[in-house]
Amino acid sequence: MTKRRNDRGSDEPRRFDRRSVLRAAAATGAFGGLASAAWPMGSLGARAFMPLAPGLKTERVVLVVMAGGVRSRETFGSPNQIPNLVRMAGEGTLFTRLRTANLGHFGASMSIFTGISEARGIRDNTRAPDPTLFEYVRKDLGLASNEVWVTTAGGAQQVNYSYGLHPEYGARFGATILDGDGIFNEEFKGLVQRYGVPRPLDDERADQVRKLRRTLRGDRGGRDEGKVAEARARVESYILSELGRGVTEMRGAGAGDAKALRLARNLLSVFKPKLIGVVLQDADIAHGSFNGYGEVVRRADAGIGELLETIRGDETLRDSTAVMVLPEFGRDKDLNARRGLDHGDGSDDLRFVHGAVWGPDFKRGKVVKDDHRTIDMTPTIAHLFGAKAKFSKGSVLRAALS
Amino acid sequence: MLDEETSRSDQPLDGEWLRALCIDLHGRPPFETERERWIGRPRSAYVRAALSTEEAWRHWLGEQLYYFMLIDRFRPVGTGLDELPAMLARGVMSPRDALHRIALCTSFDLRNPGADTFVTVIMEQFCGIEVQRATRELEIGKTAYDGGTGVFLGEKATSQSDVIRIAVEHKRAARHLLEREHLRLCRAPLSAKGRGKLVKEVHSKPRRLAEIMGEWLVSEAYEQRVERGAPMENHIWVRTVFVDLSGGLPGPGDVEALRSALDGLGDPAPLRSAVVRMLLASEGTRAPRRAEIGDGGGWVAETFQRLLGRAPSAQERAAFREVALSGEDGPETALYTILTSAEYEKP
Repeated sequence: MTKRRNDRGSDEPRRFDRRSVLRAAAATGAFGGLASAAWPMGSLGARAFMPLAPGLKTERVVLVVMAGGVRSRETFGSPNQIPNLVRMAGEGTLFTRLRTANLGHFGASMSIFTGISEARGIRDNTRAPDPTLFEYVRKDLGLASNEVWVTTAGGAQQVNYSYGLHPEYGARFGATILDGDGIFNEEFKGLVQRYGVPRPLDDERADQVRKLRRTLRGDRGGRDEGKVAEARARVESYILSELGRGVTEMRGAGAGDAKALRLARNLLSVFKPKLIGVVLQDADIAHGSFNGYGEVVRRADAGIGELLETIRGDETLRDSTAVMVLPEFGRDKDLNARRGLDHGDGSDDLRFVHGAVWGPDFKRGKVVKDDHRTIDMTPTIAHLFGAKAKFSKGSVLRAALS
Repeated sequence: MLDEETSRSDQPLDGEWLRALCIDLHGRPPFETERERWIGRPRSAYVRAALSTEEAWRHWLGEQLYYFMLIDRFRPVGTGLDELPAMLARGVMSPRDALHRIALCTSFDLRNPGADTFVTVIMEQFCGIEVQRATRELEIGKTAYDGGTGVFLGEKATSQSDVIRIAVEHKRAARHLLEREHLRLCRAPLSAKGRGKLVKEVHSKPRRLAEIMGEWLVSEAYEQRVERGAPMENHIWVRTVFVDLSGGLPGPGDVEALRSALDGLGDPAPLRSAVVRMLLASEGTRAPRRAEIGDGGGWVAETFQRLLGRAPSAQERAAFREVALSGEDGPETALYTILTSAEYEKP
């Protein structure tokens, strides 16, 4: 029987040569040592940074989606609870009426990334038919996979944000996704310690593997074979190094969100990527615990504060990085019978959220009270990069642009 | 046509077919004893035998829990659901009744908190209804969930359990279950031709689904699935690698830790590659040393049969033998190449 196998095409532009990356990976030997291995790779990734769109200063964007459903009452309606977001909004632009759609957490978050409000099942574990922000930016700017990341807190379902199924885009332009809690937990770390940290492939073995692969059915390689291997080696090395850092030990209410934010901060330091999406989820604890929900919001604010401090303290990032924060939708106006907050009453508390944008191309201290939409984020970010979100139904948030 | 189907189901199993069927039915590749027992025997005999095992239905139940996203901290452990595989294997419970039990378990409630989320998930996951186009039905379901009265999907409902029962027993649920099971097994949509008849059968006789699944697994659609190959989900890949390297299944804790980590990546390939290297160097799953593989030819042939379900081509045999004999790590390099190949990942 002859099987038809998939190909593994990729349009990733070459940034590093394979040998140098593998040498960096080979330098890793144990958890402690692995931590340092990611740094040389970060420096390998460094290149001449310059604004990507004419007339604009933004070189990087971090988009934080508080995707567990967060009302404005518990964010900008309770400023003491979110001091970091308040400061960020003061230094940037605050939107007080971003219209959302109650499409479930998954669908509403996906809509932000595609710029299209489209119904998705709450537990759908499938890709969207439309391209995502990450694909637009990677394709239009010719970025490698290590330039566009997403960190998540919601497990298996959220890896679908990486890319959609549109034939002009797809996996080859997808973001590299890491779920903080799924990977960086005690169970996985313990398993790696028990079995032993994997030995990197040296150059000779890597060459043998490449030659053998060409003899196998469906593994004929291709012009991008080396680039794909390099990108994967970088991700593998980063994961193993991150396991040895503090993310794994984060616990308590909102730990999943805290891990996603910490990973974003670390990625920003290591790779200085062009675009990072951060998808939080823990606020959905609100269904059963209003107090727990409040704690999650406060912890997310603290994580966003750390992220902002990292940017402010890094001269490469300080004047060239934009941060945008918004929930995917709010929650009900009134408490439920369990003294929690559901999301399904159709109230303005559910349908409108606040959102803050901060960065070198955004107005400072501006408050926009007109209606805009959460799906406007994708075209706005594409605009900052000089890319085009050509299937998005949203609009560029020009009211915020300086 | 009937003769064609009969002849297809009577076809003798080869290594690739056995591997595909075993992975789809048990969530793992065949053990050595199973290869010895089944290769050369009719496909239908294997499918019949497999569908009467508790292991196959345990795998089926695991797939359903994954479908409902009852994983990680929502995974039901040590609950009444544990008894379902045995009952399904004996035919004393239908798949529909098993799904009903899942919807009634505490984990399902915790996973889907609140009236809006719960009723939405029930309508979407069981009946395939897009709630944004059925908002009135959703509101009625939410009223019933909270103890009110309404006519939900055509039946009177006054409680959360009514909402579940009505959805599970609805004709649309029979259709949705058939469609997603066909997609899961044959990796192709269920053809519209004959679908109405199947829906009617499964709706009126829910236990019929097991027989239908058996028919699909020897059908032309499944033959095409074997020919195309089908990517393995992470949890199946973990079990498959362990069985292929050690001859036995990993502990459930290891499967969950690895599955969770792999599911946390948009592209699991980098971590799969690291896991393979980790296992190849570990006790119990270690690759043989060069001295243990004799002249290499037999080892390469046996390895291809075991990991890919087929014999190597002359070119493959020569190339893999050369690398396997090239140094102490030669066999490990050869195994690593196969275990991270597209063919291995799409049995």
